Amino acid sequence: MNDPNHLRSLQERIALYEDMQAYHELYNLFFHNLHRFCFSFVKSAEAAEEIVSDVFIKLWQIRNKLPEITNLKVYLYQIAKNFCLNYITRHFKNPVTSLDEINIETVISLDNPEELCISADLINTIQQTIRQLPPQCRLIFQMVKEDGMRYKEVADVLQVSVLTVRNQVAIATKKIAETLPAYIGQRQRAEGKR
Amino acid sequence: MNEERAWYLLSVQLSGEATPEEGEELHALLSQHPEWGLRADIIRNMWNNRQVSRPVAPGHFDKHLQRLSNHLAQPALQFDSEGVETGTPVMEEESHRTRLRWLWGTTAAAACLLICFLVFWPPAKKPVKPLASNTISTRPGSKSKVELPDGTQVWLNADSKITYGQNFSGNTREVVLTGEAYFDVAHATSVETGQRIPFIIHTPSIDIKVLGTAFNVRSYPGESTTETALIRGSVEVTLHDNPDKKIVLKPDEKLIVRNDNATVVGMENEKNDGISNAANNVPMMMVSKLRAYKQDTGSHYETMWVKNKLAFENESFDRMLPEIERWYNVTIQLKNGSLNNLHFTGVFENKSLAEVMEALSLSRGFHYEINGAQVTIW
Repeated sequence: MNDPNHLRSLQERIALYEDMQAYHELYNLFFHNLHRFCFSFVKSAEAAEEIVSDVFIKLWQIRNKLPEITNLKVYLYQIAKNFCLNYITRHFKNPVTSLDEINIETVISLDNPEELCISADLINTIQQTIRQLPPQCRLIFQMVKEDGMRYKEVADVLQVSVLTVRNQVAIATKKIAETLPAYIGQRQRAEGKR
Repeated sequence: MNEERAWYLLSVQLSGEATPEEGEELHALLSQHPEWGLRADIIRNMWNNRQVSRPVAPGHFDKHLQRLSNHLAQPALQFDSEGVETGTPVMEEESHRTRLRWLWGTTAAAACLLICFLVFWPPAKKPVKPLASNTISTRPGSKSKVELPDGTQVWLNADSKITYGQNFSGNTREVVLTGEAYFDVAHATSVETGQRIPFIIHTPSIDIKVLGTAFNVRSYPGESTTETALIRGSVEVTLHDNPDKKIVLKPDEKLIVRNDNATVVGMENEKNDGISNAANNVPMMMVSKLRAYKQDTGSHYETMWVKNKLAFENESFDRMLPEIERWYNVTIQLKNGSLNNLHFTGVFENKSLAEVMEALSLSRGFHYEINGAQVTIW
């Protein structure tokens, strides 16, 4: 997903040869990330999967124009975001005016405490901290950390400035750091190999 | 302040956006303040604890393909119908919708009026034929190959004509055919909708709709039947007299439709050589196999003319003579009606009229005389 040359070759194979294999590969490359992204908005796994499917239907419909798209990743996230906002508007009968009005559910993976060298309690604390961040901040943090997106890409998808993205990621990091213990054994039982 | 700077630098570094200077600055800060080291390590670990890319279960893509094909059957994406209206106040959105509805209503009403106008106003005129503005034709005795603006190759047999509209390269590709032509239709996809643009051939008795394929259509005004022979791909034929019935041909099949009353009465299978029968016995419509030429699997009698070969396979005399007339641009007068029942099989390549007539007369024992452009047979 983060190899632009590979993405470009897939784009061209789909556009020129209607290559279903390339289309399938592209779908697999983005499925989990787009699904997580959409889930943040719609908070339903089924709805998120339908929206991802709609994104790829759209992609197929405009396959001739694919070579003109310079950053396919950004493009896919943009369509996904628009479809999500439409979905919310239709289902909750209130037009969305700003990302901060949506109760975004972020999914930050902190799965293996052993690998993280921290306790389950500490993970709960981190998750709690993330949940208390403003929605837009959480979403930006998720896109940068989980999806490995560049600041510029996140900025293009969410239509904010690169500076905003950078500041929001810094705020999230600072908040997490503040809840962490400075020394092993302090406050939380922070276990560690060091 | 210093501490906040450290977390900022760490976030930039972990995001992969840090400059080398920022990296050095962070390193210096952390060595000055070893008490931040543990937290920095935890955040680093947390950050890199990205989910391992799990494979996507195949069920997701299958479900998606199902939805894709449903959407292609009826375009207009569900979510597309209402444009993205981020940041638009409620009132304006409402009025926009009402306006849109109003617009749709008026458009529909106008369309109804227009249709009524077209249907009832000019009582005799049929508004269905596409505006024909380009014509390519061949005289008797000559053949021609042309390339249409969309890349489709057309071989025109003798005494034939195709016409197509000015807007041919847009979202429709329609031609009107008189006579015989072999089409190698190029694929074309609409820029706006992304859909394949069908290629439609109108003849007096049938319409043929294709996406991209090669086939032969024979629709000479004087002949009793219209033939569509498919070489590869797939075509859909609509009979003018029975528009609800669509016939889809597979490669190596041909459809023969009787011109006087092109209605479906039943499908006869191959072997039934409908052409050789007298006109009365020809079924209204039938599908048969193409007649392959000898062991050469690629060639069929139906398309030999494209390779400049005059070919007959168990062809009746009365059907053969018009072909010879067109091929050599002559008029043939048959004085002995009983010869009509003769049948011929043979291929002539680069032969003169005299050579063809000589060969035919030798094999069937009739007399002939060539006098300029006039041939008499008895």
